[in-house]
Amino acid sequence: MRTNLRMLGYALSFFFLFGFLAASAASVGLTGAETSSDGTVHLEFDILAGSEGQMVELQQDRHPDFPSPLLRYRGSEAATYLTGLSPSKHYFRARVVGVGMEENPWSAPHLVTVRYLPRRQLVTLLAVGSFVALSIVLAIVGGSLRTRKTGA
Amino acid sequence: MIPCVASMAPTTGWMIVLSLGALWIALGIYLGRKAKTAEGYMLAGRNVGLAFGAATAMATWVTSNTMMVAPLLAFEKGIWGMLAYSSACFGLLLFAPMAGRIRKILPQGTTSGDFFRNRYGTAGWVVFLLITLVYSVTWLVTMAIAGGRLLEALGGIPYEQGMSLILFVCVAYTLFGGLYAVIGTDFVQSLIILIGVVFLGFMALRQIPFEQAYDHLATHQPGLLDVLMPAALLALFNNMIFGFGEVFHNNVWWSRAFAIRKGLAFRAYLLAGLLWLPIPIAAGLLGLLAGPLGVNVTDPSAVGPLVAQHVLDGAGFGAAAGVIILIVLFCSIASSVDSLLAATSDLLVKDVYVGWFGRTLDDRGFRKVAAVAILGVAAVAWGLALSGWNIATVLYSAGPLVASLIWPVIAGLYWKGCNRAIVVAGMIAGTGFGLMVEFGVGSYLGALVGGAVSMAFTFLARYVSPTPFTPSPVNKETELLQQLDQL
Repeated sequence: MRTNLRMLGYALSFFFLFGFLAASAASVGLTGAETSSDGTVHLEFDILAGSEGQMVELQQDRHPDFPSPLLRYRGSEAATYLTGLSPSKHYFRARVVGVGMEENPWSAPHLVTVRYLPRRQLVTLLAVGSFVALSIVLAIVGGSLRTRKTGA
Repeated sequence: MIPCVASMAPTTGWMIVLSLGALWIALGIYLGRKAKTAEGYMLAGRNVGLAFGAATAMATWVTSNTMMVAPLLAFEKGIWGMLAYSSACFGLLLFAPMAGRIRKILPQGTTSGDFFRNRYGTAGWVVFLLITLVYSVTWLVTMAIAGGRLLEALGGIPYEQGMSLILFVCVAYTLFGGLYAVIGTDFVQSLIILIGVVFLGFMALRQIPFEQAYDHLATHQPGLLDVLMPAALLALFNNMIFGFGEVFHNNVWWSRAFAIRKGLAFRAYLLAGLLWLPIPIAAGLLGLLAGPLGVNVTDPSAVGPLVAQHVLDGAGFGAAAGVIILIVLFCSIASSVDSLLAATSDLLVKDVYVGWFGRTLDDRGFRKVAAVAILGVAAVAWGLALSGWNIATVLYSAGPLVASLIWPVIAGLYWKGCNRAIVVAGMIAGTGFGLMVEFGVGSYLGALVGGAVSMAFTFLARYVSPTPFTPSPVNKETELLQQLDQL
């Protein structure tokens, strides 16, 4: 009976201690757009309870397992804008960091897919743009030279 | 809301702004004593020299957008983004030969409205007036908003007070001195802007070696070095055509073409374009270096001042960093606000009050009407700046509107004639299709499409039942101005 009560006490203590630790582990959520047409993405760190005022670390990798992550941000601000991402899939994850808290769990990976405008569409639009711009330049330069000569 | 970039005590901010404001007003009153006639007030006596002419054109084209949007484009779209903004210099460069032609065909012209009325009749004139007034007022409002936000972020001055102060200062010296005051203050402001921005760019490059910056970009932000980034390439053409439209049609530039001494307009605008070119490049460099310098950006629209503050802090400027940035930005905003107030009020006086309503003016009456116009434009801008409208969206959507005026201006200046109705239809169609594409497809296509559609209509107008352009009604305008000057 005494042994059973002791075991029960240990189990309850362990349960509460584990629960306490789990509740106090700092965590962060990561939100933002999932697609981009120019390599720009806005990521927000949803600092959850117990983590306010802590620093956040943001990593990026091409694979969801983060085999060779790139550090993109470490600081205490609530968001960041990343630009210049190449056309590809990019995975991001964040966690709270600080003195004695390096073991905090990472957020779920956030996937951002950067997809540029299709090449054919781009070439068509650039051709139109070049034609319009060049026509304007030629019309003004040609018109100025002609009217200067004729005096009309 | 622009994040607080460089905190300084509000009293310091107030002192700087009030001192600069007092300087501009004093300069404006001193220079404006020459504005005794209508021609003096509106066109600075048609006798502005090369240095002042180039400086005012350059300073007017440096706006808060140059200091905020150029870094933003570089931050988001890299090398081409930076060059996309600076492509607006072609507007000034191409206006150089046009300015000479304008003086030739409208020797006594006073506004761009004179041109549209002469070339395209009442319908073309009305369409032009609607487009240009919408564009000018929205541009003015965005400057006022930018000024208020910057004074709040940099100087701790509440938005409503800072925005009102900027408008008040610019209204005061424009009211007292007309174009003399505007051009004179622009000269001083242009020097401050040029020195300040080039200094910032130089300090940024001192803080991080070029190779290190390149390596960071290549590793972390390779898209910014991609010369084939579609969004950047499209931004290049859209900005260029938007710039053409803004400069070719707006009375801000035409009034200077009329004001600059005969024979100097070409050189003045050429010089202005070349002097303006390094400014968005230096400003854009700040945006490009945000990543390599380790600056975290939470609001891309403020990346320019944010990086500038970081650079100056790193160079040991401390509290002076905010002061320098505030002075440069205040000058860039004031140099555009005064020009817009003067040019827009000229249009309202000359084209609407006199031209549309058929009123006549004597010298005393002219100053009163001009004052009412300036105050009225400022009041509208103030109200809209307070309203919280997303006026920036309205300004950027003005791209198709102004782009649709490019070819009508070119045709009117250099062709012998055309079918007016088709050209006017092209202005409307260009505006309509451009806006549809702007909002329905992409914001970097509106000006391009608007310009292309208007171009197609204008070319059609050249060959389908064209009628010759009639010479400018010189006598009628000369009579009016002579009446004003004799009284």
